[in-house]
Amino acid sequence: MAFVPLFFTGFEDANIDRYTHAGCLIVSGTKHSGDYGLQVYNYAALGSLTFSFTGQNELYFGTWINSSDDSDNICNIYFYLNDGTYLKIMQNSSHKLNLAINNSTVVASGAVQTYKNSWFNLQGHIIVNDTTGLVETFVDGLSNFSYSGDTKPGTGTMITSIKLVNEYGSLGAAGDYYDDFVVGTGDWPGDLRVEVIVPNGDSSVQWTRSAGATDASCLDEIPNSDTDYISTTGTGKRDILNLSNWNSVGKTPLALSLTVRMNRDTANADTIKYGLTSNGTESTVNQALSVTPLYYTTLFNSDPDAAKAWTPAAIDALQLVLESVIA
Amino acid sequence: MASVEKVFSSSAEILYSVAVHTEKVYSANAEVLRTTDVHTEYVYGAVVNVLSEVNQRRLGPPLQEGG
Repeated sequence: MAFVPLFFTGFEDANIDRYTHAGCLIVSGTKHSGDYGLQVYNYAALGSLTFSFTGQNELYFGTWINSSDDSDNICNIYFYLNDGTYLKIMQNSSHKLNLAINNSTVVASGAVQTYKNSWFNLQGHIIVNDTTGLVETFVDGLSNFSYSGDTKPGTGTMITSIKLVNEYGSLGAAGDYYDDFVVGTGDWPGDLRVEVIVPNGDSSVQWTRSAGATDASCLDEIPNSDTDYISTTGTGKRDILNLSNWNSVGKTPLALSLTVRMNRDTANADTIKYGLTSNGTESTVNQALSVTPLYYTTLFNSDPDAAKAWTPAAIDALQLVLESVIA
Repeated sequence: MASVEKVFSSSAEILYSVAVHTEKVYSANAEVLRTTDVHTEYVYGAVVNVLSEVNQRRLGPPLQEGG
């Protein structure tokens, strides 16, 4: 089996409002790769950020972490099940990562020493079961802990979200940092990175831009800006936009995710088809919309062109597809 | 002797036909002026995230068989 992504982010689109969050910032000063990372910081509230995904009885995850303080619970990761119970990986003041199940009592102690203000890689494998459950972690490639037994504290059998929490006791405390967070199935993820490509030119356009010389220039900001946009009142209007190239040196592409921010002006059945076209093969999602702008994301774990593995050449040739569906 | 003729009353009955006026409406229609229900859709931004593995560097346990 190979690692099959369910969710991933390097925070490289700098759009924190994609997630449920409090007391968090997308930061450019402290990151492991790319241009941005996540700071979970107790500024005005208990810092937390939640990723949600299709529920899984078994999953693998990986991330890079940098903790900037010696206190207990600066860096806690909750894996919530579908009944609200949880498994928790928590960092202690000695900078080791331990396991607790539905409370803060350590049931498995971490063996690998991590250090303040230093990035380390954490990977994990979780199976939810009353008797044959498993939580296994590696830190920088070294076995950290392996817990076998009851990992199902309630009736929930599926992990449906992961919450990163800074539980240091007071506001204004130092933060912890995350980058390149991946969740999936099938196998250990390895050392994965996330980068972004954005629209950089018009191929053929039928929508109306609010400003600028191209439709692509209205959609390419990082972080996103709602100041300029494209719009249409007609159905079946299509925009095909070129995307910037991806720097593939020293890397093997694994998966892509497309995130688009959009809305409709009245509550009705109107939708927008959004997706990618690869070597003439189009793959889109017909997305129901809110009247307020929201982010919508869809995964492309393989190239829509014959369902092949991604290649740098295929990524460089990709185009973004938008099509209005107005009643 | 002069003759005197007197008429003490006179009446006449007139038989007449009542003219019947008939109005007929063969069709009716109305034109309604209304505003067209214009729906607008908006797109503000789009990014593609690329997930990749760094070559020659794998942290964690080895891949499972077939991985």
